[in-house]
Amino acid sequence: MSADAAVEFVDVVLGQGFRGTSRAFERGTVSAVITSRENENTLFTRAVTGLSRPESGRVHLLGQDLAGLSRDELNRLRPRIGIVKPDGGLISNLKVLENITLPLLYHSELSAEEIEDRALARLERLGYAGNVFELPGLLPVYEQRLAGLARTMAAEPDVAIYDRLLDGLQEEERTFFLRTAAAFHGERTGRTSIFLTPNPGSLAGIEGCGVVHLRKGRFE
Amino acid sequence: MLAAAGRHATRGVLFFAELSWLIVQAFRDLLALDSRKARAVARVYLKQVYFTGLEALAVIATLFLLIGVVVIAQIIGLAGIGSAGLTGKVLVWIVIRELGPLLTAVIVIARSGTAIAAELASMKINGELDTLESLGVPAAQYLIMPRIFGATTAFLVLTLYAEVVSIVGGFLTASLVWNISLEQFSQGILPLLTPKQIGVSFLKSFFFGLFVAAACCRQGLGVGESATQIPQAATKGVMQSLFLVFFLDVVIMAATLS
Repeated sequence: MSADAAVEFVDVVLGQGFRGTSRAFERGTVSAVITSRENENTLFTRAVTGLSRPESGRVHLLGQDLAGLSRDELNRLRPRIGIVKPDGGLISNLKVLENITLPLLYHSELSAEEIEDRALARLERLGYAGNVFELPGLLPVYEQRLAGLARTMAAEPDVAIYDRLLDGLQEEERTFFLRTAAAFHGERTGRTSIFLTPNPGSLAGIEGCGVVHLRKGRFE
Repeated sequence: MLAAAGRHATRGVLFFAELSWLIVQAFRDLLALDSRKARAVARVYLKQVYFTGLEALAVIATLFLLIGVVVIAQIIGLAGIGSAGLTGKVLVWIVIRELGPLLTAVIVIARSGTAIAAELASMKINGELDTLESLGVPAAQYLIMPRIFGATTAFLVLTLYAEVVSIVGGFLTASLVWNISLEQFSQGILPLLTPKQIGVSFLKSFFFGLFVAAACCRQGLGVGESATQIPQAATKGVMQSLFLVFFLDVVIMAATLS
């Protein structure tokens, strides 16, 4: 196990997505994983959060072997990783603000008021113009993605995974997300950022990014 | 035929054991809550009490007012005005012990049971349960446990409310139509309204609430990946809940009859 790795796959076999492959994503780095199919992105995030256990091999997150963790230990580790999904990954029966505050309400020592203030500050920083008391199903995809990014930013994770964050957007929106993710990456020493996409074109403009391909179940 | 009956009975026992385990898990999740997690879970609980309890109040009030009117009219029509003892017995035994918990359960199943099953099924199909887990929020503790206890709280309150309304309806009818005084009316009811009778009603509502919510949660969580399974989950949740309510009613009646 690499001591400097934030996320590490060791000979992982998992479904069709990982066929005995290894790769370490070092702490403090920005990486892009170019997948061959969208469902590989989902499998990647499931493996990293311990939602899918490898058939063989190991996945390490922030120095811990996920296979050796109990449910409670996994639930304590998961808030240290933030995942932004293409549709924001929001909970449909929670309002936008509730979606952003939920992980903090559940895990942090902050008061409910401080949590709400933090969530509103993140939304403001992202220029979110929608109604924070709206259910996410009524929002355009761009705003859903903004809200998802705000939730990740509010949680201040050590590892941020952006699943197709820059895909399917107009150039102006893409540039905004890219700049915001880069700035967020730099706000904490050792924060690791991983962009997942099957579309290499969407990664244009990311600076200092290590690119790795996930082809036929292997990192290349 | 005997083998088929045996298989059916085994499935029934397994189903009941599965629901009981879900309820035990809910109690364990409740005990495992600390003050931070409780903040988030309390919101789900209160929403469930609101949707299941408060929003059903008008329907319950109307229905039970009418039931009180009908029951009292039938008894007096059958036994005459001087039958205070029989009036009280029928009201307490039929309305408080049976119809109160049972009809409340039927209404709650129709309104909230379907909603719980469909909502959870939809969340599962859309990957929201996985999203919650990836945030470190266990779906069982955040979604299931507060729904089970929220629905049970609503059952208890609605049943109490239903029974009070039906007695008021009965008294108003007796008073307005047959000039029966409050004193006469209460003489027939109060001696029979013992802690045991109230306790039986409470016990039924409590178990109805736990098992109906658990059955609907189980159906909601049991869907696969197709959206067509959402209405199926709701329908199955309703049918299983209805069966459970009548089954539990018989069990509790048998256990408390003496």
